[in-house]
Amino acid sequence: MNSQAFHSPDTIVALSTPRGYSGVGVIRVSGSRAPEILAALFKPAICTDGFPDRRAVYGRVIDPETGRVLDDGLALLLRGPATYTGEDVVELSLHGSPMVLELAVRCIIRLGARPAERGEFTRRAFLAGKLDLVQAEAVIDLIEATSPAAVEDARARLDRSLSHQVEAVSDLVVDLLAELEAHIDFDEDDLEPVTNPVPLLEEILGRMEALLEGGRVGRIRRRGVRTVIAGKPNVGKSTLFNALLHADRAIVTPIPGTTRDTIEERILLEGISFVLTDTAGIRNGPDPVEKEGIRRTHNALEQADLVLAVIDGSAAIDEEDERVLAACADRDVVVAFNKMDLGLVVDPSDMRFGPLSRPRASVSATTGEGLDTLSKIMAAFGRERTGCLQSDISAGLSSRGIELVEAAAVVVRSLLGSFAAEGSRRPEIVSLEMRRCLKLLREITGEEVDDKVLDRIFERFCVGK
Amino acid sequence: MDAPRIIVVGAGHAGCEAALAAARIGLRVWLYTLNVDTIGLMPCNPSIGGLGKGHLVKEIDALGGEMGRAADASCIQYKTLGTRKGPAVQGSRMQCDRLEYSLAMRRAVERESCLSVRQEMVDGLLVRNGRCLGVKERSGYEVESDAVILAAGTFLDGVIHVGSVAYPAGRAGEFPARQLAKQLRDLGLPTGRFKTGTPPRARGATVNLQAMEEDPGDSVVRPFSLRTQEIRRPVRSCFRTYTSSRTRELVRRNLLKSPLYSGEIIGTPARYCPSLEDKIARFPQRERHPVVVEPEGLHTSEVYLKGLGNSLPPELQIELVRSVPGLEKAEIVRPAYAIEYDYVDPSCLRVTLETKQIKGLYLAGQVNGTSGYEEAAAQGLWAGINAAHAILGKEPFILDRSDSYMGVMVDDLVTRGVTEPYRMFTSRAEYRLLLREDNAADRLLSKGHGLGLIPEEICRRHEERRRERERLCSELEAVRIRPGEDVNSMVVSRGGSEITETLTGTRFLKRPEVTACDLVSLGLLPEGIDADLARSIEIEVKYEGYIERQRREVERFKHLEKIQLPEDFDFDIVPGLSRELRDRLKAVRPTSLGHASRVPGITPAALTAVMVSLKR
Repeated sequence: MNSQAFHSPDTIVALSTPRGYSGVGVIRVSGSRAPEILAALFKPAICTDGFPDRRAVYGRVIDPETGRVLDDGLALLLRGPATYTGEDVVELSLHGSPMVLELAVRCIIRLGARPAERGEFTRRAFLAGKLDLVQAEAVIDLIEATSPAAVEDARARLDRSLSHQVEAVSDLVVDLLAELEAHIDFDEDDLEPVTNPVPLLEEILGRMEALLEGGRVGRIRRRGVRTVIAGKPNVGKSTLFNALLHADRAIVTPIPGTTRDTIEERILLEGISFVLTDTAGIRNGPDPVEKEGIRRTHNALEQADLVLAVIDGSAAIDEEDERVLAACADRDVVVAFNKMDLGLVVDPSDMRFGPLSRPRASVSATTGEGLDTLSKIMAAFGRERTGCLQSDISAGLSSRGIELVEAAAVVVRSLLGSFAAEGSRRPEIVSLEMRRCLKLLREITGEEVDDKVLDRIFERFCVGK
Repeated sequence: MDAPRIIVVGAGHAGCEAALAAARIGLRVWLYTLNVDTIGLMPCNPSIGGLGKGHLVKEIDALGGEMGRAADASCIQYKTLGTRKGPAVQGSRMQCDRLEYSLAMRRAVERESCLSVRQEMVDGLLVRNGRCLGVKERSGYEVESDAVILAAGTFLDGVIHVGSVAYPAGRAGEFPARQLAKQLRDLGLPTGRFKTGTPPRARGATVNLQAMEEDPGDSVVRPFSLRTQEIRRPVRSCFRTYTSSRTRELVRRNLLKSPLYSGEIIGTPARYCPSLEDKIARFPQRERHPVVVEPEGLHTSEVYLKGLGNSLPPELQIELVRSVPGLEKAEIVRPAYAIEYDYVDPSCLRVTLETKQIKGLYLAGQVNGTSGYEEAAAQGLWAGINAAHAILGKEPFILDRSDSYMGVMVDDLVTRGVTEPYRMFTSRAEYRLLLREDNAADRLLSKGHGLGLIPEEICRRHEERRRERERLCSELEAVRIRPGEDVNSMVVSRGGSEITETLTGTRFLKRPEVTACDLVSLGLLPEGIDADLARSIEIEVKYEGYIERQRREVERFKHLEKIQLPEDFDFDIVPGLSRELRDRLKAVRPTSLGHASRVPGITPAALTAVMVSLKR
């Protein structure tokens, strides 16, 4: 019963559709014992000789111990290795009753399968060489996508376009290494002189930076624009938070310092996802709980893609407001002058609110006035942040990928720095650094390096005696 | 002649080292050769060492091997290659007198009382129940032993090609070993065909050296061997010229007359050692290729024409050689030829170089799909020591990728097998900055002493040197250099920037423009310090940060090496491995998790799967 190419001792089972009541629920089984489990559990309505590959069969699920019929539905047998996991796979589509599905899964476990661990189907697909690491991550992102753009990104990665782009950078590194190693390992008199590696290093760095930019954009598309509402106490941050949410989520009182912890909610503005964070007001208070809240506010500000700096527009700007504005000086900021229903006192063009290019909106969180304008400003910002990509770079390097590319870019930057300072570097040192880069890049796709450099040398250089 | 414990078949570079090591460990050895006059013959280029290879020679020497001493004894030119690059990747090369090298090796072999040389063809191995019990000579005489080390070079079913003519031969003018080759195939060892070749030799008096660039080599001759005090020998130059457009035209026009291109040769050639046909066919844009005229020795005027290796018909070879400036009137003494031969894929070997299939049978040298004298000698030494240890019930002698090029090579061979003749490159060594010629003795000498192959005296002398170096290094760290007229005018004249604050001697030496010599002239290192000592101090200081980094990498590497995989580990129970990878793991039988990580095709994920199964 084993599939030809792959072998796994464990057969795993899991409910593939969400738990809860639904029209249909799908149970998936993967592993060498999947076909025999199917045969023991499922009786086709029309007597057939075994289960045909890749064809749905209607029939009944029967508990093999009691002989009782559990449910009726469709069974699909997919023989490996041309399956998602590379193993034999069975899919059962039954009625979406949590109890029925639970009983069916228990039967399958009694027949020799074990419950799958989180992500195990995808892990098996990776182990079987069906997916590379970028693709495996893309599957998870596709499932967790919160916006149409994120779906598009994940899809692109599943189609390996991002893997190809990472590989294109690795390829340049291999080119550089081949050049260096050819001159290290062969008699220098027999070869053309060494070419200056700086232009190639610069190109490599440029591509890494494009990948990183794509990664940042992808993260925003995937997770939404991290938007932090900040301001001194009692300017109406939580009221604005609730108003943008159209819900009574955060506790609002007239007492300054009511919000102690940060609260997060997700909203969609013009199709763009935002993660809105309400924070504790920034001030110098003695209360230790409030102090902790303020520390969290500063953390949130550091992570923010966008800050909504809320100012009480009905009162004159003071030192505390200025402290808030200073705290988010290097971020992208929208200044919201709240309480416009009480009459605006501040001058929006005051340079203390930042350069005039910084967007400003007058709102009333209680009446809802001006919220439309604020939403439009936020949506425009989100569009700008997620739309402008060089056409040949796809978004969505995972955070693991971003870290790895960032580490590789650091190496290249410091090499370029030392070239600038010293004029040249010994080839074995440049090679050492570039090998480190290559390893980092190859970790992104999970590919191995092996003899690629030597192969490239022999393709490109006429070496030897 | 007492009955042997170990039989070595073949007395080339691998065979000689194997026989010497085993005999010096104290076992009775018989060394078979087809011709006693060709012991330690250099059948191709008359030189020892080179990039990556000089490292091997130094390592062989530190473990008590003979190659370095024989090279020192026959040296006619010394040169450090790669001086435009850093010291880790520089390589020592000696032009050697072919005849004297061979005689030096023969003397070493004859000096060993435990070692007997026998001129006779070995026709077969005595194999019973998966054990090799000895050999059978052509005459039918059967000789028993506890182990056999096969070092047959290119002789296994060797076929020489010149133009359209092909004939069986082990080397030019020598018999091939056909029965033995057939037996290895019948025993089920995985064999393949490789191709190599050698360029033509010309009569010296007919070569116009005036038309070429002279390369006299380095003025300072640095011995390979720790046991050579000094080399005082005559020196000969090499001469460089280039192929002409006529050469290119000639080869292009006659490409189909080469057995390489007519389809007659099926053996895989080495890409790093292309024949002239290959160079011209594969790099048509290149106008000229270098040719180096190397002296064959002091006792002959014959010269080796490096760069003109080919397998064209002899009449064309004359025209071809004469199309090269300076060789217009050259007479060919020995035409170039190509040779195809059987090799055994080394992935069938244990890390001791014993075959997994047949106990007591060891393979070393070109028979394992390598090329090069140094690669062969290193394997010979390795196999000789391990065969002797196995018989004596001692621990196997294994070096790893972090302590030597030898360790890198053997690991590559047994883990990955070969797809083309394997040559040592420095780029194969991931810890390249740690594995240098200058520290080969630091790395391996005590091991060589432990094997009983290095005399106490040599060890003691080296230990003194090492202590001296440490003392000088700590003094250098303690001394302070203040910005001053003399120091700054020196660094500025070298293109460095002025010193503005007080530095330690170490920091000063770290600057790219400062050398150890400068420290001597500034009085920071003693006058008359040994040049090699000064150099090794300089290297350690200049590479310091990188050396530290590589040391940390080695620690991580050792961690995985230490996790042993039992010999009977069942890869079938590891989930998620593809059948192909599973088969390969079963064939290689990696001894540790680290070893498994280098099996071709294994991914980090697959390795994790193996690790998880191991823990269960």
